[in-house]
Amino acid sequence: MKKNVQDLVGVGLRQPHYSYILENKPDIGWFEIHSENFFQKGGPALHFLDKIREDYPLSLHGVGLSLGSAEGLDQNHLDKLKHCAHRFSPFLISEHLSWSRINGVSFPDLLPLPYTDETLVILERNIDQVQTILGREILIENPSSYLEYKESHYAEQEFLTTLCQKTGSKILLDINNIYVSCTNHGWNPVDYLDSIPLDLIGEIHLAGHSRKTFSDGSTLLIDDHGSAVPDAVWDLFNYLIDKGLSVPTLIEWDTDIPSFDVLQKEASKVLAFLSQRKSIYASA
Amino acid sequence: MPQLRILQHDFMECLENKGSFEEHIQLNHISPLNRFSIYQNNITQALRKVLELTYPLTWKLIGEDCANGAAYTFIREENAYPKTGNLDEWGENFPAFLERFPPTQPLAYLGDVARLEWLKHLSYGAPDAVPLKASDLKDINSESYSHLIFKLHPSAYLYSSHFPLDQILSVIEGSLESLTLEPRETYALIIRPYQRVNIHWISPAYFSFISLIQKETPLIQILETLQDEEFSLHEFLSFSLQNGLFSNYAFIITK
Repeated sequence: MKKNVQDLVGVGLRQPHYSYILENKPDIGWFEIHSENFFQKGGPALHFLDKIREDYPLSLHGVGLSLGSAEGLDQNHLDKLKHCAHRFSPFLISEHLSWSRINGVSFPDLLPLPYTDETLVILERNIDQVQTILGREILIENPSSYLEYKESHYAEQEFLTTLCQKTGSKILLDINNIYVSCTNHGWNPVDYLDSIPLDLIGEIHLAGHSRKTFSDGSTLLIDDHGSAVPDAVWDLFNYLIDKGLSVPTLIEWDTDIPSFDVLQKEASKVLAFLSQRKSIYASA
Repeated sequence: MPQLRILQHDFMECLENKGSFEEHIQLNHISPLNRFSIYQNNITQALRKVLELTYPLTWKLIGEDCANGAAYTFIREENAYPKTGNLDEWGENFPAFLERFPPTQPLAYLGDVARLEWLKHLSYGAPDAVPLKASDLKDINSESYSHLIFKLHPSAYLYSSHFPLDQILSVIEGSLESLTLEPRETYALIIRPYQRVNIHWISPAYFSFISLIQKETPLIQILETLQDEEFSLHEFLSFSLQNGLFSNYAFIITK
């Protein structure tokens, strides 16, 4: 690490920016990759990442492991993740509170789980398997969701906290996902944030979202990572920072990817929030 | 059966239009169907995007609307969901589907173009290896040819077609304005010796030669099999070394 990681801000690493980053070495604390994009045995993507890793810390963020599958994990996928972690020595490895695999079929989306005792047991088993094979703790991200289950009898934040306390994993708190899910389900985002113990949070994600309007006039927020972080999400981030949280924070932008300087401007906003809070505490 | 497994099974059935998922969804002011449709759409769009990235020439050849339509039908009707969470491994059956799909069926060469793209995709992510140089072979004398086998670079793939794929690709990429489509065999070597995937259009003799190398046939045996008077081993080795065809060589022990 170049500096103390707790004070650094990262950006999601995407293919259109590889050459720019290698040529310009932008002042960014770290990069996060989607683990599955680097499961190949060789080739240009790995070559670029090796080069970028020489200058920056990396975080591996998985989207396809399906921690919440009742049938258990795909051992082959887990082996590839282990290989990827061994090659790139990431300082963080994370996955989602979701499922995507059933009967040997994988869906490329982060599907919601019912928050029940049975799900808790299945997740505990699967997360334990991952952490044992990787030999380290992982972080679990709260999902954006578009439906709630009748079967659920935990609030999401309570379920996630209990899960991480039982498994020794940390929370990757996606503030945009909290805003999206709270809007879609009528939850209170501040109550959500207040329910999460700060010492369980190991990383923060910030991103943008869009709004889908159906033919009957109803709307849902969609977590599309295709725009700047909106004010409502910055407000929630600021609320959390004011509580004293200081963890690696990432700007995610995965669709309609802009030029790298746009991402850098978003990252500098995070730094401004963190610096402002530090100066308040320093002068107190 | 665990309740979670039933729920996940029901989700899959609903996605494949074989059942309902509504009974699991908490009812409120937004219809359960609308809520479920977000996931259905996310999954379909993600898979369509994977196909577009894997088959860019196919998209260009038949146009975005037609290609998207083919992708949606492939995903929906062919029970074509991925078997793993690694999407790089998914999409191999799309070329065969294009040959059956009524709107694209008349383009007889489309399946071959798409298969070539799949091999480019495999070559892109194949293991790395440093290609052999001419200097690596300087100590091999002709007496050892009977035992000599070359190991193909791990990114090397061969493909042959009954259509003039070389010209078809030139038209798609814009370097050739038009072509008169007449049946002609084409032979391709797809290879990524370093960071870029190359397609070489090769002769039938080179194609046969490389196919035999792929089977780890000793060099002398290949030369005997080939029986092509115009074939020049010197020229072939020069082509192979220039284009990174070999990653290693060995001498097999015969009893």
